[in-house]
Amino acid sequence: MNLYNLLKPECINLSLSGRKKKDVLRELMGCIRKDKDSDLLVSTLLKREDLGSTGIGKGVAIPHGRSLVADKLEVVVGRSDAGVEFNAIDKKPVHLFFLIVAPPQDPGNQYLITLGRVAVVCQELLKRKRYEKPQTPEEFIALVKEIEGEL
Amino acid sequence: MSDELKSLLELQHLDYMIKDWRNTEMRREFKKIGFQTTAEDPVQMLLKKRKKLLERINPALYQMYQRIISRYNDWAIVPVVNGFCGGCFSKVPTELSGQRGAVHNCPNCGRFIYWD
Ligand SMILES: [Zn+2]
Repeated sequence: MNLYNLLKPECINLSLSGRKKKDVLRELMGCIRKDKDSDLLVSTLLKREDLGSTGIGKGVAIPHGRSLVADKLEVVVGRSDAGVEFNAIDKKPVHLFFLIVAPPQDPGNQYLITLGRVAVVCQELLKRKRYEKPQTPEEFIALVKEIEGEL
Repeated sequence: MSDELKSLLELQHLDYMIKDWRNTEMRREFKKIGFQTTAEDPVQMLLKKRKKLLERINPALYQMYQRIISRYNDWAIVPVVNGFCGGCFSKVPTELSGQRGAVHNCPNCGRFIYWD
């Protein structure tokens, strides 16, 4: 699978304004849904965070959850120049987010495959801070495509 | 949406999560990705949250929820999309949509329904 195929410009926010976990999750969710259902999902994502932060270190976090809110798998990208306090495993602020929301039942386990793929692509995005370069969502998608071409 | 239905939906979301954390393949992949858990036993922690949530849910509704889940093994609460039940895809009588705040069940499959 290719991650760049799942990315949509309207689901990429390269200037997140939130500085706290909840605010950023809400901001990311806002790309998919703007109604009350999104609050419900934010609370689910926070429950997931309670088990241990999805901030996997080096400034990256991959919050994720399942919900009927998503009728198909959705990926939202967020970038924060200032950084977000996310209780990441290395305690460093998070600058790059990949939020994954999957329907409860997904044949072929696309959820797990996508999570794995995001983790791999993130490692490449971190090298020489490549993720900092794109100025527009389209440029970000192009960068992910370029990276996936190198894998 | 009524508070009762909201709590049921919250329960359903929690149940999806519990299911994932009980799945060893998922757990293995989570670990590989680099997710660390601070909770010693994530499933136990989620079950604790579930128990707490149940305090807010009417036992009769909860029983119904459990019955629907065990019957269909997927979801108990579904949205009505364009007038159709999101669970069985049959048409939901329009008179039901007049009382959107209340808790309703799909007349065909019995799942809880809500309007988006
Ligand atoms: Zn139905």
